[in-house]
Amino acid sequence: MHDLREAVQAIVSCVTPAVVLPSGFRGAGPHVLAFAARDDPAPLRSDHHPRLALSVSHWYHVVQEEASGHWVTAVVGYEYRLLSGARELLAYHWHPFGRSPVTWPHLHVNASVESINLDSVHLPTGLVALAAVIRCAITDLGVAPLRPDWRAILDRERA
Amino acid sequence: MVAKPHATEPVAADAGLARTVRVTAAGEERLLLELDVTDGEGTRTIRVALPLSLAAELRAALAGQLALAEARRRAVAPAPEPPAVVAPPASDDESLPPVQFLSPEEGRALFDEQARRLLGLSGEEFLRRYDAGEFDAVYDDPGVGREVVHLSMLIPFARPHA
Repeated sequence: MHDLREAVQAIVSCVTPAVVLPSGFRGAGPHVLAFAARDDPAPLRSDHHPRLALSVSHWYHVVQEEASGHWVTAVVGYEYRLLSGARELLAYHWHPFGRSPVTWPHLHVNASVESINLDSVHLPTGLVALAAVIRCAITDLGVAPLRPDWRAILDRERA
Repeated sequence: MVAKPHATEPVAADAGLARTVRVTAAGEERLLLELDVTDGEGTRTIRVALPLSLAAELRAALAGQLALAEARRRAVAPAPEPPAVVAPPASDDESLPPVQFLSPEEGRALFDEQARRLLGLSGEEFLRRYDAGEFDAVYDDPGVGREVVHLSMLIPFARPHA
């Protein structure tokens, strides 16, 4: 759990001082890493979009590697949301253990094209890395990075 | 010499074998290693204060030793045990906040706070209705359905040993 938590914390530290909390590490899980309620969603700094905010939930299992015997974490689900105030703009989902029949990774976009409401569409994606979402927020949405080494961190961490 | 603790960083949290505490001693930051050693006479705690520069190497070495010990133990007695998490070396990124472990009660409180904020329900009430399938029709829909997804992702805080 420790390595995954550090990776996720390092990634989010590029754009917010909010702290990710682990739900635990005993038993089969899944467990989750997420912000404390007071920090969820976590405001992001942006001159262009002052109400942008981030919400992160990261599911993981603790499993033992057969070869080494080491206990490691395996990511088994996620929910990354970019919001404007309380309004969700983008939501990257992978919730294979929820009650939804949609168990594959997908994206919701709060937008309509002609008569199609994309928000209710499960746009299929591959597995999306949190680091990629944060990079997009910085480079395309004008979110201000909070640390000078953000590129190196996002290149290094693949959570 | 009075040692003032800053933060506790579990080295092998689940096994409970060892932990480190950053302290200030005589004006200098040091890492205080606390290691529980069990032998024929019982369990004793050994404490060693080391310069911070040795912290990363120390944690790496200790994690490796514990992993090896665990692998050997399992080879001798393969009966299934609850996972003993051996933490890998902590990163060198001193700017990151230390990991915080929530108690089951704190986890349930976090979940309850989120359920009340997002849906106006207690955490317990949300779980009862979620388990009964009452949100299935709106799950993952825009609006309230998306909040249901968010809460469902946080369920491990309410049920940490599920």
